[in-house]
Amino acid sequence: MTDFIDFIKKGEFRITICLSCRKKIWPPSSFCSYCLSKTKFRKIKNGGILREYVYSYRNPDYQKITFGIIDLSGILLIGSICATTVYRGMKVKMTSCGISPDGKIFYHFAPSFEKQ
Amino acid sequence: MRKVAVASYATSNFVRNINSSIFELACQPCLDILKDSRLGRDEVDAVLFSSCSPEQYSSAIISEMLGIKPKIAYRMDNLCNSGTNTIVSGMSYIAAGLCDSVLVVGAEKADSKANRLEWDITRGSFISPVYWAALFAKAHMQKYGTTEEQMAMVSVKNRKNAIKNPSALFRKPVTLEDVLSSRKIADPIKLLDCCSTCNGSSALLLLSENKAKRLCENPVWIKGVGQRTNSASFSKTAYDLSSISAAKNAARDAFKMARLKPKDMDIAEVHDAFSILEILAYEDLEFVDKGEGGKFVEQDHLSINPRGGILGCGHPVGATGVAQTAEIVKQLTGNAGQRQIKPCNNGLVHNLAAAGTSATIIILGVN
Repeated sequence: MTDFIDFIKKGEFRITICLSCRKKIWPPSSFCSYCLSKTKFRKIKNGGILREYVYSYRNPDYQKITFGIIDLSGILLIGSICATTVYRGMKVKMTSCGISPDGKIFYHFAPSFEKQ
Repeated sequence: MRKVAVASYATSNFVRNINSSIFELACQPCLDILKDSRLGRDEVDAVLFSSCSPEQYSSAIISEMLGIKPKIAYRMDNLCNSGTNTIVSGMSYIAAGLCDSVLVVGAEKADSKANRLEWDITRGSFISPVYWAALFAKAHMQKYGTTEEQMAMVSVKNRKNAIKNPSALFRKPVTLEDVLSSRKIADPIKLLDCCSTCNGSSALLLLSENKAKRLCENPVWIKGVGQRTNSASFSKTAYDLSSISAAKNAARDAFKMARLKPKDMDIAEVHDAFSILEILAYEDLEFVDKGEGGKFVEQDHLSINPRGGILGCGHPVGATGVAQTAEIVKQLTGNAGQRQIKPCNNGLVHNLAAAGTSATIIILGVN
């Protein structure tokens, strides 16, 4: 997990891949939860599909923030969506990730028009 | 396997502010149990403490404060599911013949960090439970036509039930309009669809059959239990947002063990930290068919969450599962006063943790 944080601090999103069975291990771990072999951090494609989304108002300014659960090359994570129109099944791409000043990890997404 | 009885129970008032330590809070319901029980303190074999508070050696400290020297003493932390997990552990010691009497106590302070799982990086910056609850709610609305009004009715019902519960945090009713017009948190979830964390404690005394028959006039028996832990991260649960599979499978295990069916339940305490979760519980427990949960609440089933649920009582995380079970025992022994449900022979406790990644079901009965 420390390596993951180090990558995220640099704005790089990486997950672990099993060196034996090649499965994606998310959240990252130094060993594979399927075959218990060693894993290695790898970049994955930054394109995904928005499976469900919600508007959040839970912030000091009561601003509308869109967030959703995204299928990113077979792994699921929650990220914010920057888009004027949002719908289920929308193609998205991770535009940035990092750690905010309050110490929270964030993943930002926007619509994608690239072939995935 | 030996039979296990819940011989006595006690629950503190659930309150926003408190001056006492977690240990004093935990001891409060235990004092009520020990003063009333014919069981000597030297006969208590185990003291199991359910809490997410980080204090060291807490179960030994509570034991010392209560003048108990148990064989077994430890704390269990499983977020919202802690209390029910601890009951199943206590039951297991007795069922296996390792103990004859187990004191289970759950306690939590309102400022506990138990309401969020910091480890779960799959949630990104949306770490608060309301976010995953909103995703479940939105998916259920989309797939089955569940409405915001139906979710609001859960809050109205449970807040109404809590009026009759002197231990509950909220003793004032809310209307459908109040809930629907309350501040949006994460659409479709509004402020009054959400529970409040608070200070509170609850305790149970579990006894073996021999001891229960000797010391207890109206024992209630633990007839079936089911526990499932699918994962810890939301990412592993989120493939199906229309139900909570850990609860579904734990319920099947519990019903099988109890040799009972959902229709045999007279009463249930279900996990309603957010109103949508009660609707999901109706379906996961098979009280209704999949997708029918929203309509079920419209029928005003008083036998679900008669103490007021988590929405009405508040949510001292480590105490919740114990308090839910105490309520079912109270109802089954006919001691629930104004909120007594009749007839009442079998009851169920449904509890969840961390986005439904784990669940516990306990079935209790008088025979």
